[in-house]
Amino acid sequence: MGPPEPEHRFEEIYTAHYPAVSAYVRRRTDSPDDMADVIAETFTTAWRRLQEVPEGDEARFWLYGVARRTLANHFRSEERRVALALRLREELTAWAGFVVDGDHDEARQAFQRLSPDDRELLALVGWEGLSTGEVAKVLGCSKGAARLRLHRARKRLARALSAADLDLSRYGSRAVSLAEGHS
Amino acid sequence: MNTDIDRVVAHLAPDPGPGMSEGARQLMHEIMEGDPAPAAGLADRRRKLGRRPRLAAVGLIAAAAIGVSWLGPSGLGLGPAPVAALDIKQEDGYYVVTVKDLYADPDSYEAQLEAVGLDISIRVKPVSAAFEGIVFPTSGERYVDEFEPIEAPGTCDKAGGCPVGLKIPIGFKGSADISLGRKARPGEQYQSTTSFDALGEPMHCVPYMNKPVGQVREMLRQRGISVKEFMVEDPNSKSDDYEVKDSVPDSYLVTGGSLSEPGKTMLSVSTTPMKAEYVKNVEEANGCSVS
Repeated sequence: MGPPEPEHRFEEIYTAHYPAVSAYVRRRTDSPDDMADVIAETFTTAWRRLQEVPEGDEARFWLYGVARRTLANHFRSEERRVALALRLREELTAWAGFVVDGDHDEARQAFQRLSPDDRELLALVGWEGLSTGEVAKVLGCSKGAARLRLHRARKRLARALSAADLDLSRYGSRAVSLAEGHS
Repeated sequence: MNTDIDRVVAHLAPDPGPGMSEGARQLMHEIMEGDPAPAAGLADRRRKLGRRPRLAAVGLIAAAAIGVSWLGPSGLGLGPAPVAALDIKQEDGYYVVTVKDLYADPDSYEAQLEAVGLDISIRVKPVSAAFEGIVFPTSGERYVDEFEPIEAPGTCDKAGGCPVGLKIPIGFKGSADISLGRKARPGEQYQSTTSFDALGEPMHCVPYMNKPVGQVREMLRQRGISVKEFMVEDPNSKSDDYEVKDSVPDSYLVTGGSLSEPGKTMLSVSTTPMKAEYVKNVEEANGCSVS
């Protein structure tokens, strides 16, 4: 069998990873329009750079990386609103209307007070379920660097939770020791 | 080991959205109607990012794309007491703002900005060398792209960029918070730091990777840096867990590190070396001549 046609390969990648990528984008922006733009731009990039998209599950980390940069650039660009995804836009808008606003407990506030970098590191682990090595692939850094940064981010969140006077014991002893400054 | 904090974060996950919907399928077909050629827009952005590739890997990622920082010549607050914390001038429809006193009371910055009708707060944070002067304006969750940095002319030797000022459009109506990095005092913990081999950091282009701890300790000592703790990876473990130790055998190999306060570093170590190819890539990305 020869190499699959671009359309075939793209469809495979899209079908396999759309749910994960759309969830990634959804968790990092509230506006349905922004969500649709970033999803459309991420997959358009994948289509245009199809040969660079790695095989298998690695494709997901590559796509997260593209989505991440697209999100970062999104708010800096004047000409937005991709002329694609009109239906998706409607769906996301309708769906967003049903979403109950998340609870604003102290843990969420402590998390929100972290730097965007810390939040992203912790979210890639806690929300996308990535390992340190996978986080490194998304961020384009070494596993060692990712590990160091994650360690610091965890420590800062533990301290913030502690400062908010949350009962850390309900989250386990590790959180307590991190907050107390033991590594 | 680290799962407790991760569990706290996992509880905060916003729901993942509707998943693969009809609209999502339609988008797929729309995309495939386009030409699978290189995306010019993205390529342009990548080139811009490429000037400071390592920062994207290690630090304030969004900041790397902007490369903003500002430190006036008197920015360290040394010498005669400045008359005002900020210098604000009007120029071509912008307020051109430079910080004159990095140690001023935050309220005095706000008062000056408020006096020209801007609802902007400035928080100055101690940061590692590469980020000294870095500025990061946000409004809620959004990076404020209306603010334009003024880069210093010539070559910049810091991963965080070398801006000398920030242009804020006159009539900017929103509110914004600006984080500004300053040099840390001795013993003061950095609130933002990056890999110690990033541009502007003390181990930039020092060939330390895969060298034994004993040797790297000496390299660090020559630069006035001591090792505060070690992060040890167990290469035989499939998990991503690490152990933080006060000491390790001098024969362990160094894979990375970053300063947590002036003169103190955490070293990432392992008993197995990193792949030579990876080391070469990092050195290249850092703009160092590859040994």
